[in-house]
Amino acid sequence: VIGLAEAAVLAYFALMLVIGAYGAQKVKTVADFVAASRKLGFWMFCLLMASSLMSGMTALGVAGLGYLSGYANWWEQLAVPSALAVAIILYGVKLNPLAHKYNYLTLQDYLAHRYNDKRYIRGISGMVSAFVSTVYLIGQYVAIGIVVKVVLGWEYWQGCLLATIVVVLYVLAGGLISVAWTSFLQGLILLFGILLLTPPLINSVGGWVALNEKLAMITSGPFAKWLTMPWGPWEVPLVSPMFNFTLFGLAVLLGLSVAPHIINNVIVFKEPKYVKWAPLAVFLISLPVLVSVKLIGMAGRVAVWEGWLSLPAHPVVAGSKWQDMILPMLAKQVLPYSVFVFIAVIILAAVMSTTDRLMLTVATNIGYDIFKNMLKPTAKDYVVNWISRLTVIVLGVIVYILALTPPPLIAWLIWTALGVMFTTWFPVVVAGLYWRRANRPGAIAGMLAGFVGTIVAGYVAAKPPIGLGIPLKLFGAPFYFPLVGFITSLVALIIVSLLTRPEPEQILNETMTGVRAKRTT
Amino acid sequence: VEDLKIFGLPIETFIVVFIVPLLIIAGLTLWGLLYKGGEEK
Repeated sequence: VIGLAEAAVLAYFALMLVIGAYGAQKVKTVADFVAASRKLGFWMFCLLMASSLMSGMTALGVAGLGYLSGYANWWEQLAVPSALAVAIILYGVKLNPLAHKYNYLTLQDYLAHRYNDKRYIRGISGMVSAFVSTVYLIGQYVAIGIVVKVVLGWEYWQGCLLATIVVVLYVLAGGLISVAWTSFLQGLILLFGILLLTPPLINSVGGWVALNEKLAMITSGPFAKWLTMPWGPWEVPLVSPMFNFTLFGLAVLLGLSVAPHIINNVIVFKEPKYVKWAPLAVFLISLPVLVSVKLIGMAGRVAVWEGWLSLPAHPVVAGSKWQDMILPMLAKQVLPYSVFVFIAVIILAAVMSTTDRLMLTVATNIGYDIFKNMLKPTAKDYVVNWISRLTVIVLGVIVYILALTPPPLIAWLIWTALGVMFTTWFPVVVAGLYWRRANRPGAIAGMLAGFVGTIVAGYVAAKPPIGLGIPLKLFGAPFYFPLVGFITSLVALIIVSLLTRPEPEQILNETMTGVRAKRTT
Repeated sequence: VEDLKIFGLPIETFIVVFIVPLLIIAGLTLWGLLYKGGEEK
């Protein structure tokens, strides 16, 4: 017998397949997608930016962190919307007119032009992208497993398995670029869905002021003492001012600003004059969403403390609740069942489409950027296609296995991915745009040093069995580990650039490089 | 004075939740007013 939940899930997937198939007729390549994006007006562009933030994984992860640490990590709510504004101000100013002039489709096109290299810059960039996307993929699988568990009552591993099968088949079947459009649509629906969902969930604990007063009364559980404080003591990981700064002020703010799903939108928007007011608009659109999701997580903390909601135990972390479950669990408890199913299906569909897109990204990175571009430029197209397909299958299985042991918080995965982007792409992009001395060897050294530095620091800082579990400290305060990779990246980029020859003046002028470079249109 | 709360939040939290975003909004408004590039074309 098929219940309401199953029927809703099936109906939604069918609808998305239809939309995807329709979109696939019009949008076949990345160039088509960019061409379509260039038609977006000001407000649609701003909505695209805000909805790019919103995957099901983000919704679950932000709420999970709200449950765990309350206001002590509120800086997340400021850093994420600010990252969109930073991307437009810092990069859009130059990248957008350049993209119109030279027809860049992605950030890699700009880097290859500016650093005068097609092979290694693209190849290393592709490696970083494959790594980051794989980490995101694990998070998406975890989110699918959680939502399927709460909505359909399946076991967590069954949800993950469903994700693996559906995603791999869908990606292998082709017609994939349209995924980007269904993603936009679903991100948009999710964005409004969250905003509609928030008032009843906050009211379930007596409204916002009551939520704050009750949070202050909680004395048990993680970070209980600082739930209504904007930070915790100096020496406490996660909530100390130093940790908040290195995590949200650096890794999240700057890493997200160069994330492909953000910066590639900045490259393609229609009119360079959007740079004037889009930063304010995207901040104002995305702030309420980020705030809402966090407040839902906090309301969940109060609900669990009051005893009318209980979270299942985390499958891996002994003695810990499964905090990432808070959003769907609270929604299930508070909302009428039919409304809850509707919301859950929206989340599920959003996760699925993001997962498809990520899978495709990794396949392209490995097939084209790494294999064809860097390792074997003479490879035939069918070989590259087969490698891409094989990647999808192998990756599907690997990610499934990794997702079976979810991290304490989905946020861990998101932050790791952002941390890697912060240490590999951010220095190279900013130096590329604003420092004429930065050159190809410097960029390659910077990306490699940033990647290696981050992975090593992450291994040292992570808890066993993955790493050594040694807390990294600065002035006695724990900090978020990518700071190490950022420093190694910056040092390598600067020193190697200064020791080698700059790129030709002609390229630097073409790419408007430098702080005072005039626009040449 | 230590127990002063606004909307049930300690004063420093109130600043981070309300005043800091307003400052960012003010900053981005200023950017919009002052940025002159990208107008031609």
